Amino acid sequence: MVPANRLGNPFICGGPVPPSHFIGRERELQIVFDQITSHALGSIAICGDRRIGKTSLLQYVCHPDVLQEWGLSQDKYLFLFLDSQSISEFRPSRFWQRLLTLLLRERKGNLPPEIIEGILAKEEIGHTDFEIILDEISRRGQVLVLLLDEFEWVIRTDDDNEPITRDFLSALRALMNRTPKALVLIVATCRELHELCRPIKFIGSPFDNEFTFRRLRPFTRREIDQLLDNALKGTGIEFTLEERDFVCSLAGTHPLLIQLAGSTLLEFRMQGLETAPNSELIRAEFEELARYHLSQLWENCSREEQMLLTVLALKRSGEREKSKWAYDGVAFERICRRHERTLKDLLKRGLIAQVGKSITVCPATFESWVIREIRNADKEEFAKRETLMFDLLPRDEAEQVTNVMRRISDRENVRLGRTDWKRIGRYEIIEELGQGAMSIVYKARDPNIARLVTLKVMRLDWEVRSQKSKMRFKREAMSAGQLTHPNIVAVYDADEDRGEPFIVMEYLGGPTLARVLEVLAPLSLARAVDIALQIGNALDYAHQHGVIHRDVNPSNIILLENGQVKVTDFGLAKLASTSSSSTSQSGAFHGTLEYASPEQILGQEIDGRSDIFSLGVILYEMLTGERPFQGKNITSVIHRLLSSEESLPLTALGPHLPLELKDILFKAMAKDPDQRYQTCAELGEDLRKMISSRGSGEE
Amino acid sequence: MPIGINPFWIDGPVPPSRFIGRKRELTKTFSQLTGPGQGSVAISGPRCTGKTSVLHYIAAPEIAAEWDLTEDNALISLFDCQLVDHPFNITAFWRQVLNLLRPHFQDSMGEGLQKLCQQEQISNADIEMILDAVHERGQRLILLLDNFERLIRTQVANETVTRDFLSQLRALINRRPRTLSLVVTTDEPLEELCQTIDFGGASPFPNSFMSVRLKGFSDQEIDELIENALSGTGMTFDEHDRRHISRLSRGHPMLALLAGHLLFEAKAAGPMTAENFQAMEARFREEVKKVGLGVG
Repeated sequence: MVPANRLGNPFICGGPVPPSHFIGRERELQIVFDQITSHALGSIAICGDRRIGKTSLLQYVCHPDVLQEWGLSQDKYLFLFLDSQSISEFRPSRFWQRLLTLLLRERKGNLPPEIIEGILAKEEIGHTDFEIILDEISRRGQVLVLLLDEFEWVIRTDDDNEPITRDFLSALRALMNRTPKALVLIVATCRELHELCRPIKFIGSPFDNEFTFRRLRPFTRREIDQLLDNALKGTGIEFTLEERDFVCSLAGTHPLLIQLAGSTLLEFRMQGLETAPNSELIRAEFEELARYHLSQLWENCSREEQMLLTVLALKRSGEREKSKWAYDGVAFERICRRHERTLKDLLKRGLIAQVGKSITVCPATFESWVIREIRNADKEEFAKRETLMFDLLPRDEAEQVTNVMRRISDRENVRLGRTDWKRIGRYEIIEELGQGAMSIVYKARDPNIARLVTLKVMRLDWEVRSQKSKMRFKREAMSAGQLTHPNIVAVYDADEDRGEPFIVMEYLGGPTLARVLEVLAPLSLARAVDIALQIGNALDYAHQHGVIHRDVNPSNIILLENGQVKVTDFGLAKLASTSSSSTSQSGAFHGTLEYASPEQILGQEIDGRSDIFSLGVILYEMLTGERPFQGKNITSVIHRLLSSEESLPLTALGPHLPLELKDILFKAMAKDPDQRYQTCAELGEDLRKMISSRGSGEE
Repeated sequence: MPIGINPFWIDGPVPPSRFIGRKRELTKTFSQLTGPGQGSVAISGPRCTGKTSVLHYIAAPEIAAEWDLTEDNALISLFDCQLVDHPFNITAFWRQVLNLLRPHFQDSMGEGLQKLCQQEQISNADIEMILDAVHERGQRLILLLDNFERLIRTQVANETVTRDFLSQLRALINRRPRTLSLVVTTDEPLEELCQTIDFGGASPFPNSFMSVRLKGFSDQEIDELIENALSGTGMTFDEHDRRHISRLSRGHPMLALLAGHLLFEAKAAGPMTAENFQAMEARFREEVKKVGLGVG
């Protein structure tokens, strides 16, 4: 149905493709019709990944126009499509009943309805009843072609159902083999039929012996082009060669993924947007749409296939991010050689691609999905993936692979493999308080003096753990530890345990400013200014002692019950960056982007004025509940932070706030450090003046 | 409309005449329903993000007609799954749905439906017969099932019936000729709700759906919402007011309406001072707490 007034998106992202839009599969169709029309009347078992097009193929095969095209008389060949999932609480009797009801309703081959009705009137229907129908069909010189979709639905192999399934399949086999032959089955399953039938203890020949097997492969490039052309017909839009390549790079060769990628790209084009500048957005949209289907592809892989896909994805991702990769190429070659057969299977299924000697997971979005699943895995999921490696690989290889998996994992407890650590250094771990970009934070106890402490294990760049880096870490931590001020969290100790550097600080029970803002933002003018003044005091003191914070943000500000404010993590951002030569060289940014000064983002030399900029951002957020430099993605935040034309959204301040405040914020967040307050004391002075000019009536 | 009648709709789903935004999501949904695949769609989104309103909008004859879905070719029926009797059984579900459809058929088919509803069991074969009859009339059935999670029970006692029900429903939407399309709404994505259901190796239910996730409103959509609500009232919200609503609601449509409602009320009572703004915000937070919707 073509929309009358609206231009719709013609790609099919849901169920099967209708016969009118079916394309390709010439080879499979040839085999199906050859088997049906051969003297032997052979049956066929079609298998293939989820959403590869099995149902579409079966529905196409039994379409009257297609039968006519292939020269099959509908008087002779009675095609009956049955989705096995439509049978409630599967039992053989229900299967036969369902089949007979369909035959009756669809009036196939003018079979006498009274015979069918007679059988349907029985309480229990067995295969011998169905034999009567087959007798009638063969007497008339006809052939019944049963297309049984979702056939695994009837193959129940648990202890209770196995004998029923065995008897049912044996009966079906007997019906197929009666002479004269009158029954052909075309069954579709996701896993191969003989794999599904393996646990069944057949007496005599197994059911699956009777079938010709065909696996539905992914599309060829010609079929992909045909699919795209077909879909775009009538839209007035054409995809260029580059756009088609882009679709393939997103979706590989899987028909449904091609539909999803085509649909996403078309949506952008229909809005008048160009593909190249929006390719990242299109990719992100596609990944969201395809996520579930990619997980289905994974679920449909054997354990060995999952292991290989993981190894391949890690290898490739490691090659891209050189600093994170420590995989032994020789071990990789060994794994591939040992599992050559499985690699070939994956190749046939289009889940890997080989160019020369290089093998990659296909499509690239599937590779990203595999990596993302490792990265986001919780403890249990991660353990499952680790077990997979240790079950299927020699210990040394499994260790190599799981070490890489730990490195890319986002969850620190998984990454460090120390979920069961009860002690770090001499400190007893009580509970995990949270995880940040740079550290994992624990509440701990110092047993020497029975004091509660906050213990932070640093997330330092994993690869660079030279003695020199570790010494630098200690030195920086200790210089931060020299700061003694009522508004600064005291540092007690810095050390390392099992190669993990950690820092020990004063324990404070209060919430962070970030948490308070989440619930209470915006704060009153008086409270916001009071907090800003206390942060400013802490920063001023640190700057006078030559320590720059580098990551002033609400998560690093702790509010105590008595109204006191404490700033924590002095210099830790620098620790994180200086501990790794690779990140320093790459100019990687350590801090919290939305609060960072322009000079910090640009990787320039910074001084205390950079912290003042961050304080300005915090003050703005306390007063409005919003961050001044926000954006849909990192790039737009950076653009806003750096752009000189981008003025501060000061309208969000509201009419109830004094005009002077706008000037103060403007100066605190000036893009040029020279235009900014030069010290926190200067900023504090202006804030105090503003408050006193408002009088004591202001809350 | 004189100032005083608050135009911000906060009681239940927004009627189609006041529906705004969601253009992308609607295009996706209608494209699937009316495209060559005549597919099904699973719409998900957090509480009160407008899922029910979207279904009402789709079901509105004048909107459906824009996509060539008229009574001549399509029966669009909206059913709130919260109305399904519990403990759930498949026959009871179909009985309720068929009863809903009966008014569409004044002829012998209506009688047929009535008879079917009186049956002890309603099987997939029965529904297929209905669908075939609908097809013969040149029509198709589009069922909009709101709060669909009510039918996805995954406790041990219910899992079998849920699995059978979903499998049969899947078979119905995939059969040829394509006569049944579903649009289901759930808070969590359908695939997550069905994650623990064992479909015995056969295709999982969500496989047959295109998923659409309702997210928060953009600033542009909030502006449209405000403009739409205020039109004809004589009241205006300036840029500051609009961003204030944006900030309070953080894009949540229901909360944007609530913030608009309260601001309208406050502005109708007199000029806005800083104190009035603060009082309005306090009320907003109170109301949000009452309805149990967190923001953030």
